[in-house]
Amino acid sequence: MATPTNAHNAQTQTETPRTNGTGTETGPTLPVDARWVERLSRARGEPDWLLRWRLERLHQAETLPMPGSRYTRIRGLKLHEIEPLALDSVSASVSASTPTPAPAAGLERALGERVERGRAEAAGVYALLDGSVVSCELEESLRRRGVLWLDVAQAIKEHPELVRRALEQLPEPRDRVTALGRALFTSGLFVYVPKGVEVERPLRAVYAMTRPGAGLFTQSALIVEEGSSVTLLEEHTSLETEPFERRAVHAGELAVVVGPGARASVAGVQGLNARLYQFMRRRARVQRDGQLAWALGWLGGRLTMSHVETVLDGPGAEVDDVQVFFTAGRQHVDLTSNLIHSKPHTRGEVNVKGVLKGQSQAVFWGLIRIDPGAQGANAFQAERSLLLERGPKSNAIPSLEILANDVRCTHAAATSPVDEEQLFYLRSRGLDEDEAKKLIVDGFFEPTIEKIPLPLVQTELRLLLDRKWQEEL
Amino acid sequence: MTDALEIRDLHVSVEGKAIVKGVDLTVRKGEVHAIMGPNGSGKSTLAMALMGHPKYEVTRGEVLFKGQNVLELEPEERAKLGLFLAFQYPLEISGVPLSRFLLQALKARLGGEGEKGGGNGQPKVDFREFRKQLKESLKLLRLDESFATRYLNEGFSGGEKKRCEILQMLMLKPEMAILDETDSGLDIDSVKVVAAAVNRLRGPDFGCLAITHYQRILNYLKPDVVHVMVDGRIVRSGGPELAQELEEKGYEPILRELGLEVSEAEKGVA
Ligand SMILES: Nc1ncnc2c1ncn2[C@@H]1O[C@H](COP(=O)(O)OP(=O)(O)O)[C@@H](O)[C@H]1O
Repeated sequence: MATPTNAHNAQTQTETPRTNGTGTETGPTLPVDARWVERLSRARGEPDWLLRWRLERLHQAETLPMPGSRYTRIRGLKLHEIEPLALDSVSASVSASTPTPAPAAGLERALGERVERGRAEAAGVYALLDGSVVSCELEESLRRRGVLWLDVAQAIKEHPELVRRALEQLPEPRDRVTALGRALFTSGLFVYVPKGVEVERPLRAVYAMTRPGAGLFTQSALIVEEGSSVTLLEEHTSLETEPFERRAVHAGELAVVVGPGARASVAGVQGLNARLYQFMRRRARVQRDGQLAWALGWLGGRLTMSHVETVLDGPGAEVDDVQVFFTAGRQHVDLTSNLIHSKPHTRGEVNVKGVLKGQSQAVFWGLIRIDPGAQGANAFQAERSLLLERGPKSNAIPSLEILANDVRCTHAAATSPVDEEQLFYLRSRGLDEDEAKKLIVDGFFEPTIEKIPLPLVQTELRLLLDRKWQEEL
Repeated sequence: MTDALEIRDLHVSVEGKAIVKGVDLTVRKGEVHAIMGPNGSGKSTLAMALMGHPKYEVTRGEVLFKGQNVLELEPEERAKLGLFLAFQYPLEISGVPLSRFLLQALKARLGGEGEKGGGNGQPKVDFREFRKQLKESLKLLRLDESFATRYLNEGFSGGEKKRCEILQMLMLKPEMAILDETDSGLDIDSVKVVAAAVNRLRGPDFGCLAITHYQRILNYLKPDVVHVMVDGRIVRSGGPELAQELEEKGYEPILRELGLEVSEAEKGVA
């Protein structure tokens, strides 16, 4: 049996060329074919329905276009050159001859230290290093109360129906990467909090990607039943590796359900390698009187496309979506935040703030939709970018679909350079130009970071923003 | 070489337009000078140029402080040398608490002096001493203690911003402070508070150049020298009696003497 990569190379040479999204490319568009997916699924001992589900997605991936827009054109990334990561045990059985190399010991140690630090304040830890689960543990008391904290492979074995429901509820893929991610996912977290359980300390997931040329595909779900509460911290990191020689990809999805009266916070901090392309889709449904807080920080990666959608699906449901980004060099972030008010008396607030340096670019798509009958809905959306130099560009594209009449809806977007007068004011007090800019940047982020209801995440974001500032000086 | 602020034949242009047209002025430490003059005579332009605002272009002349050529220094280097400007329109810096800002400015200032540094270039600020002084200064300027944690100037009233400038001066202890119309828009009690704060710093190591449109703050500041600036030049200098004279007769006689037109606004301004 061939390795996953060899398999694809062999296949693509003998098979007839596949169709592709744009119709202008020639040659292969995907890294693997149906036979590879079949082997993957069999090796993982998956049920038939899941194999079929994967194959359908693979088929869709062949014809769907690459993600992107007028503002985001993905040029450098060639999907067919990406080597999808499989869990060690799986890839070993997929390919007996050349198993996926074990992660370097140094990196494993670095991740271990991070997990160790996280463990002190977390009730559960999940650590993934280049597709291998390094750690997946949950406090015993929570386990006894029925909380599930499982790697998705284990979840498929132990709770296939729950996983099946979560997967089947995903909206149809509209781009090639999303479809491919579903066809090839090998890891991710499955979190279930039964009715009436308050998980006080945060649950922490670390996704480490350190391998050039690799593709990590994840599917995660967080289900919080009625009256429960939970905090999930997702960290995407490359553990301070040098810029990769080859582009790598992470495509991940997270489906969240916040039950009636339940509370959930989902934080995501992304500090990936400078040659990593990340595609994240996070979608939540918040039921009656449920509360959800998103807190996302984007610092790393070559290109980031993030799609956050919250459906306020019961009266009294609320969401706060706070996102900050800091880009430099040739980084590109494309952030979408969709706020869907489908029931009356729902409240949604989106606050996005970013600082741009170098030649970096950002685009923010903010949709507010208020469905017919969602009277008394209250929607707020603000995006502000601060340009530290002349090179970067930032665009905000808000759109409103207001189909009810008794609602409040506010949105604002602004991009501005550093204020010269502010700069002079601070310098006149003895701060040099960099110190003055740093103070203005900190002050720019601070009120938004303070909106994050998680002190731990606040601290971590401040730290990462500080560090990025130092690195980019 | 002296410790004074020496301004010689200074010419300043803004956006290509000559505004300050040859100012000579020496303020020694230990002295308080006042510059008065009608609106638009170039007083603020002089202040901005002294602090090094990039938009204010010095086209001729020189400025020395403590024997150093100020004009070749960056604004922050001027601050470290001991210059301070209380802005006419202080800027709002969102998200930056006043106390954090002051602490950083103080570190920069001490670092610049290079004497109280604690090795490795990191100046030492005694945090307890800092807190104590901040509390005292807030009290002296009749600002509530909560101002320490409020964002710098954000949402402050006009008068609060002006008092906060003087608070910064008290904390940073400059050797030469330029006050740009700090008294404008203040009620009489605040004017007294500001003057008291300046007087507190007064001594052999502190000089002050107070720009004002009105005479009333001078009753409390008691300047050693009063200058009158008109159309970018200092046209008269004298003792406190000059301010008194302006108080009584306004700028009109001086302008007439110079053969300049008297605008309605300037009549009876003092
Ligand atoms: N930043 C600026 N841009 C353009 N013109 C300016 C600027 N600052 C001052 N001026 C002009 O310079 C002249 C003098 O202004 P200013 O120095 O503020 O006088 P004063 O402080 O004595 O009232 C005025 O005509 C004013 O319009």
